[in-house]
Amino acid sequence: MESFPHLCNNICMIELHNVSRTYDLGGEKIHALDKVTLTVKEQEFVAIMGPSGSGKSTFLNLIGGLDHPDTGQVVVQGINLAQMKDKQVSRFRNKEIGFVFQSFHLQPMFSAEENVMLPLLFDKIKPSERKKRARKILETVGLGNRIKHRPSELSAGQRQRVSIARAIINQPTILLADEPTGNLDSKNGKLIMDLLHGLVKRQKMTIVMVTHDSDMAKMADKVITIRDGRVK
Amino acid sequence: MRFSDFIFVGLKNLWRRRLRSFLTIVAVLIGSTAVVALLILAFGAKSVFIGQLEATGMLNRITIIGDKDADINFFGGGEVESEDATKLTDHIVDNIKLMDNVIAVTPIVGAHSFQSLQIKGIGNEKKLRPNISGIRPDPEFDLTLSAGRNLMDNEEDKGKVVLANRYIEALDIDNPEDVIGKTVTFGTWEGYRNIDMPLLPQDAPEEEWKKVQEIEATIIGVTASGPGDGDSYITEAWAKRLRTQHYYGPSTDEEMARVEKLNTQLGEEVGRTGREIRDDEWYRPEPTIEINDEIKENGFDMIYAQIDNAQLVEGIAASIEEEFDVGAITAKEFLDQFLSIFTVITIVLTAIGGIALLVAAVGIINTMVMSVMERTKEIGIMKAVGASKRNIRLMFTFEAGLLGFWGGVAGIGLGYGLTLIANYFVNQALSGDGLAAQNVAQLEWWLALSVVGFTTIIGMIAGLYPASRAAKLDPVDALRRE
Repeated sequence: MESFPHLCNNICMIELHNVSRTYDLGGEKIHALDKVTLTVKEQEFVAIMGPSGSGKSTFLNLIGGLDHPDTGQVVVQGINLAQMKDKQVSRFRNKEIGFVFQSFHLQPMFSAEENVMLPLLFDKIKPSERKKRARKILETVGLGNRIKHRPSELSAGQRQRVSIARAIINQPTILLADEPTGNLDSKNGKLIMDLLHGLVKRQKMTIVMVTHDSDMAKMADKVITIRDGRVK
Repeated sequence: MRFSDFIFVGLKNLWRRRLRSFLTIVAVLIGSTAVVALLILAFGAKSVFIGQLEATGMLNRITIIGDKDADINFFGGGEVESEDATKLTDHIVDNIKLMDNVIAVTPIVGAHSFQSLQIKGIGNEKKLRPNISGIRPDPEFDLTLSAGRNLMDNEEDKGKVVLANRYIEALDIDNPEDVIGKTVTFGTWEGYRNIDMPLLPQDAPEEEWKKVQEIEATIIGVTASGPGDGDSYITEAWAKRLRTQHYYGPSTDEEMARVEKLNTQLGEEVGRTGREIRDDEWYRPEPTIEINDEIKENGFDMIYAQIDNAQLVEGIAASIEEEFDVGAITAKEFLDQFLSIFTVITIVLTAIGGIALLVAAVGIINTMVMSVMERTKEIGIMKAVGASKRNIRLMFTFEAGLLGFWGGVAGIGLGYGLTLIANYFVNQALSGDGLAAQNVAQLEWWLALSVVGFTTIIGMIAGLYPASRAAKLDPVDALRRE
């Protein structure tokens, strides 16, 4: 923290300092992120745009602590993620981060309720309390009558709402959405966008959303474009 | 995560792939079954057996037989062939009694005079083959009884019996107490009636001689189940009488001379009258009554000596052999033979159990590695929502542990069942040695618990490698997997 200057004062939620991430893909080096420096403010709704393979997902994985930069620092809520141990990063992901994926990543054998409860499993919460909270959050996303359904019994839009319910069940401060509407038709896409937008306002969340739909990006407070691993 | 979460999630995941889980558990089952059988034998049967020998004083006993070289086991079974056996007499009994550390001595007189035993008015009234020994009552030889009392040294010598426990079950009697005071009827062998009862007149019809006679006795006690519970006991004095045969012997020379003289006179007198002499007119010689006291003639069947210290039994047995030129048998030889059988079984079961559990462990590793590969994406998702490496590692370790757990539980069931079957055959073998039916299949709850604990730990150890693979998965890679 002390080794570099603050880019924003107090209200800074996410800071990337000179972050580079290179993948080795069959002998070919891919610069997913190349010396990226940027900040996201508290309660900001940021859209990340750019062509496929431009490093957008890497960006989200780094903020969520799922991936680590080769060089540079990722600082979230004033904490350098590189300084955290696995246990702390996991807890941070569990409490402060909610992931929403393009392909939902739900467990096919679990019901909607069980999928939503999953993050609560990694905390010492009573099973009865978990159920209560899962049902409540499913009602919030409008799936109160679908709690026992498995993903295969739900529409794509409903699945994404289950996935969002899972992401916000621990009331995280940051929601990381990787093309959340990418697998949805425009009507469902709009529904999801409204849900996300509402979350920023109601639950005072910071949202970083990767998309390549400029219509969706328009709903964000700020649009950041990444191309060839660099912010444009 | 809560402890219960690991169990619940583990069970759920095993159930998701139930066929594979079941097959993996079967491998553990085979190993744990062998271990269960091993423990039942090693702890259950062995200690029950030795405990019973100890409780009945068998480990402190020396069985003395006349023939030094006879192949006789501790419980008196076996063949006596030798002709030049030393006669076991009261003199030997008294002298053994004088030895240090010998606290009691009794001669054993087998009463072989009966072919059947029957208790009327209770149970199924079946006729059973009796096995009766006469003993010289002594508090030191008092048996552990399940009902009634032992024979006492001032016992009226006839008509009292301490009944073998084995008959209680064989006769379908619920409670041994119920037979105390009842009359037991012994049936003699056909034509073998010249024992402990008045001799028939010499001219009695042949059917009378062949008739099976009944001799009654009152039941005063019932032995406890355990080694030797097939033997009933009566007093030495009565047994001796039952072994004493009375029969008509050839007339003496004087008698023959006297009768011949009388018949000569008769011939002369009747000859003068000129008529024929009728058959019944002739004088007949009075027969002698011969007495065959088998015990007096051949000595006691056996002598039991009770020693106050089990450690000294071997040494005292050796000095008895030397001093009296007799055979002295202790339980040790029998026990050693018995224990060596146990050792062989133990080695075989350990080998089977060890190999099976090793194979089972490899099976668990295989199952879990497969599971990790299949669930890569799931692991990625769990990491994304906050599962730590430790969480993932524990989840898979527990899941593997549960495979071991269920294998252990099933093994206890199967092992116990098999031991019950083995129990049956062991009893067959034991009864051949004059030993009682033993409940060798005894599984203490803590032994059951340790078997389950052991297989669970094996499962968890086998799960360590797959679990660490799962924990080390790169979440970004894992999530990309379809």
